[in-house]
Amino acid sequence: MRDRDAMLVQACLAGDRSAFSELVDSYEGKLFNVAYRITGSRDDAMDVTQATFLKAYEKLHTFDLSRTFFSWIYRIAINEALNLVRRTRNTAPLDLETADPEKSPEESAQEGETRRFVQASLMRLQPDHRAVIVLRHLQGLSYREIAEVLGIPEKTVKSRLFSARRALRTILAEQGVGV
Amino acid sequence: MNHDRLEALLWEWIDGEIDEPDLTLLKQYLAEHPEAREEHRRLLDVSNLLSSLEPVEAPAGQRERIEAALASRPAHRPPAEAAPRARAGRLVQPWPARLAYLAAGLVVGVVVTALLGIGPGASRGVGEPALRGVMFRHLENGESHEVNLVNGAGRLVLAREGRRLHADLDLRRSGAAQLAIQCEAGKLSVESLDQVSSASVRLAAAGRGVLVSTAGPTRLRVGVVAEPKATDILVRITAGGEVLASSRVQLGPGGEEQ
Repeated sequence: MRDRDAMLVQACLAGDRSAFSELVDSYEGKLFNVAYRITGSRDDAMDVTQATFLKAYEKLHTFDLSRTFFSWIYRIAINEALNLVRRTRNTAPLDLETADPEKSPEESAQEGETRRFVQASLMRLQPDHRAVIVLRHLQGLSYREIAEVLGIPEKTVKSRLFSARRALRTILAEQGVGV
Repeated sequence: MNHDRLEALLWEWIDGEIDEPDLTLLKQYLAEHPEAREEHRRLLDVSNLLSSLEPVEAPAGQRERIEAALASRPAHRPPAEAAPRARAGRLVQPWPARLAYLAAGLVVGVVVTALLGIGPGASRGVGEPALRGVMFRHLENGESHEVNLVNGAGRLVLAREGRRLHADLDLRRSGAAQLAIQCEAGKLSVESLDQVSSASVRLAAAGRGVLVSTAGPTRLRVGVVAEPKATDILVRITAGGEVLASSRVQLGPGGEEQ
């Protein structure tokens, strides 16, 4: 993936627009999910995703090929999402998620309720904490990858995750969830 | 072990990031302290709750929106066009970036070399008239030559202007195909890429080689320029493992026009 991304970046810098479309294909869904969980809104997530790709395209010549494209574009997306959240102080609960058609209405209702409850708790975290939780638990990134995306030492990733999870436990406990 | 230390180690374990000595210590501690096992269970509950947030589908239309926004931006300039600015000192890359480009160039070079079949392990020298669609000739300055691709897959016209070579490819075969252009010594750079038809085309250029990939039938024109020390330019079109055309254009050494 790393070599492929580097080739596509090279091709795009050589004037081939379709190479960037392939990068959009690869990262559109992942970046939308990151933005969605941080902003809590599908519309805001769409704006963040679009702004991320535009910024990446315009700044592509500054991309250092010795780094991974994934960490570079994730960092742009996280910064865009955090800036938007800070500008709008967005703490609204998530838009309704669609139900899984394979689950019974009761199961879907219960699972949907759980997801809304968890996301609402997530939205009460400070944005930096929310971002690190999203990268670890929803994107499944390792400490090293999170450090690369956020541009901070691994040690700081550990301590930020620790603080974020403890804050989340406090929020959950306030809602009567004994964790 | 205080509670903060216990909680930190438990999270590292849950995250799969704990190192061996800490894991041994933690397991021993858990075996001896039931309240620590209870804390472990609570942290797993938090982790499971977060895992309940499944990925969501990107909205329909997002992709089109992004593409439309990108379409309003100018395309990046090919290296050949950007070179004068680089020489002016404004876009000169720092050495780490140059080394990274060099590494990426080597990757492209290997791919192109493989496609051209001129690597150390190549069993057939370019120019051997064993393949249909093969052209091996000396092109005079200002001269052009047409070669028909095998099985009526289309045609390729090569035209030389000094150290510039223009390849006009009319590919009528469906499916993916690659046009590889490489100089045997020295470097090659892309001066132009004009796509006449609408098939998806990707271009990768670095160092000695240029690789143009197309997803289907296409009409495109590629212009390259070779460094003075380049002696020959090799061109090969492949599709599905089949060589549709293979060509070697001889240039004069040292920048002479022959």
